[in-house]
Amino acid sequence: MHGLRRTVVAFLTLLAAPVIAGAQAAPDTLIIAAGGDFSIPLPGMSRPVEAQRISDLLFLRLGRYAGTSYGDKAAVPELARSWKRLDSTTIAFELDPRAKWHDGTPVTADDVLFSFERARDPKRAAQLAPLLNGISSVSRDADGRIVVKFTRPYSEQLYDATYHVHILPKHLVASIPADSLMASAYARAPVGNGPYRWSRAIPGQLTELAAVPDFFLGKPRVDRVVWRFVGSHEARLNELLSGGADMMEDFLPPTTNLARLAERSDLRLAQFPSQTIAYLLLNQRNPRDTTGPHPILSRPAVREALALGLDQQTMIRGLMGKYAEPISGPTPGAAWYRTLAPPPIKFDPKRAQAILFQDGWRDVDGDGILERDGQPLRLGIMMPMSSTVRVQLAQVVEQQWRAIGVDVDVQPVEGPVFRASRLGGRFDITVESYSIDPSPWGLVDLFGCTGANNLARYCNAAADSLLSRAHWSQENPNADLRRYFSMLVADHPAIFLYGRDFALPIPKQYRNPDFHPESPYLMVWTWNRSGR
Amino acid sequence: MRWLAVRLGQALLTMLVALVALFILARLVPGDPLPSTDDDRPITPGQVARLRELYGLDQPLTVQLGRFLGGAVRGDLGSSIQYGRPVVEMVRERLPASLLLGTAVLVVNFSLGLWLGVLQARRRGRWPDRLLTFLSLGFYAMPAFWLGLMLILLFGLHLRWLPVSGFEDSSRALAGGALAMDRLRHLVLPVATLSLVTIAASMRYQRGAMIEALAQPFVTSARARGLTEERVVWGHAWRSALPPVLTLFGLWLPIVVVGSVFVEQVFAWPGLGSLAANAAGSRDYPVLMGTAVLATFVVVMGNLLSDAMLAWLDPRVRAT
Repeated sequence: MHGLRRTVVAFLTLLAAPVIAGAQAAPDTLIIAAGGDFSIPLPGMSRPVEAQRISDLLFLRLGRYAGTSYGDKAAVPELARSWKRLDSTTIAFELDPRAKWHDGTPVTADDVLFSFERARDPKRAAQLAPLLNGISSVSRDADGRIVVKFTRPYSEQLYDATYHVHILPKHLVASIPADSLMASAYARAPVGNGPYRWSRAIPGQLTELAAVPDFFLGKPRVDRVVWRFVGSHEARLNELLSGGADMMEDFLPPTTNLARLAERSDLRLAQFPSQTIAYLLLNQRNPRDTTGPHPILSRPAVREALALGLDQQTMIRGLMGKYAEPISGPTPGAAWYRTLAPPPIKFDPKRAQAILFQDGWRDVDGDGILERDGQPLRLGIMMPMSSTVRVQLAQVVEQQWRAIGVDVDVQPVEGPVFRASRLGGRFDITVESYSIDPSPWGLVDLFGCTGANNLARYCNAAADSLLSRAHWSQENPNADLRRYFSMLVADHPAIFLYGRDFALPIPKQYRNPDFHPESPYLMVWTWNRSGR
Repeated sequence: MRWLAVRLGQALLTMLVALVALFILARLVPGDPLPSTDDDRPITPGQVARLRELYGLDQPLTVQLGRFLGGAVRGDLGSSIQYGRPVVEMVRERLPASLLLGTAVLVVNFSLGLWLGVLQARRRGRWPDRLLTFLSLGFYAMPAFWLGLMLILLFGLHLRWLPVSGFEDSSRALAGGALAMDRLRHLVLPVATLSLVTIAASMRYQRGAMIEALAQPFVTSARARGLTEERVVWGHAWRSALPPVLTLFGLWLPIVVVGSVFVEQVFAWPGLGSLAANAAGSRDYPVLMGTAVLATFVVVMGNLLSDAMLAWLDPRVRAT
């Protein structure tokens, strides 16, 4: 018996030894617990958001987004150390001669030309190519500068030339056929030009990047960045609280996590605006026959009443705490144009009921649900069941709309079913959570008459015209954008709920980390632990 | 030999039928595997159509099935729709973690579990038997994910003795003995969880079979010949008590490969179970069918192996 006891104690001691010896992360390593899984981190091919964030640290662009998409201050230098406007349709970029690939080869104009050629080819970059329609050519001049010519003068030229295209190494990628790139040896260990190089990946477990000591913009202060892939939210939180991770993606909601964060006194919660918004998309098409108008939601009065019948403020505070702000239009907190939209719609259930009454809706049978021509005011709200916050949000909407006589059927469905229903237009209302591009021009895709992702088929040619004028003009676009947002909000193609902030636990040792609105970790190489 | 050939033929046929059924069932479940506006950067319906063509999803179901079966025979299971990577590569990457977890659980269940089952049979009706029955059935009744969370709370978050997820330390690259020790530490909680909730089965099977064996005349005869009790139990009775346990072993062999989805989720264990579950959730048909091929193979071969072992132990089985 004593022997057995000794064996058990020895075993436990052996297991606990690394803890006793200090198994916390090495001081120069940042571990981020994230969802998803290992994916090829190549620009333009990285589907899961984690892969995009990793790719952003491996590959640079000519310039980094500077907080606005408008004008010639839309970027700060990255691979290009400077640029010069030659005329109203031409910008010349001068590459930073210190820029190198992680294999030691200099970054050249050839790499830039190759990357743009690839990005503008719809066959190889189907998502990217349409975003570069404003560019007519990319070439190299006699001085070795990259000359980008645009189809016409417009205010977002610099943004288009710098934001969308990460530069790839021609000498490593050009020889790989496009359709076998994902399966190539290069994709498994990509060579980039950013502050971090590829170190290793254990699928299902982690991806690790190591600092490039001679990075031309300055030595990264965080030596290693590790993405720990933990699919379940609860397991991710456990990993954070046990000290296995320093940061955690999707920490909120639920807001009850805020209290649990106190279990780690070395962490604090950083809050900063993001490009993400949430809204209820109101289908204008009949879900049963998508060629016809929606029997209820095609009526402007109903859409207006639904918007007035929602108490956004109460809903948001309950679900997101102080980590989201009500919005009236598609204007996330990090967007430079956020102030151009009208103020959030005021909750006014009485007015909502009056509008519905004027539109002919009555509670004929006394069941609390309005009817019109024998049709009850009944709507389904669909969302992916994996998104707890969207399910909760729909439940709150159900309660609030019930009070104005609307019968709501909350429909949580699996992600693939949600996608199929949306693509096919087979829904009344969906709960959307979206990361909006920094340029308002991206909204044409969601709410423009010809927008490829305008799944609700909302169409207002006058609004499209305003957005188009704002984009293609050389003048300050604010007046046009202000009118555009007013028009959009008045039409209610969607009920815009909130702009969500990033809420990231981070070790207190990091002093004033620079969180970039595009990706929280984009500037991780500049983060500084105190005492280092 | 003929018996083995017939059984092998039956096994392959079973596997084919199972795979065809799984293929059809997977396609019957509603949902679209292709990404759309739900992702961070939306892609257009036109691009979705091109992807559908790329993955052969625009073809009739029979053509897709033929391609899948043909590819499976050649060892080509296609590429993941979600991640764009070859399925064989993804399965191969996850296999070691699954084998490690599954093998450890099987070793615990079929060493400690059998030993405890024999102990119960030898102490039948006395307090060790009653206590072990109470404990094993108690754990058996617990949901694995709940027990896993409780162990995490106690040993990971409260005592901080053991890591709560993954199968190696992310903060540094380890090698040699340090890596082995680190893997062992990560293995403790998932193995404990899976073993505690499943060990009751091997204990109960072994206890029942052993009680029956200990009552056989040959055991009485062995004792009468003056053999030690240990020799009687382990050398004579145990062998005749093995067949039901071997059947159980064959049924449990798939655990080695596909593990437990719930436990893999709770402990973020990078095994095939979580890969298959994620693939099912996202309708990533190639990955789903890739894991199905492996799981079906192991189930069928596990049963064949246990049948073969039974036939070796008891020649009467071959006659049936």
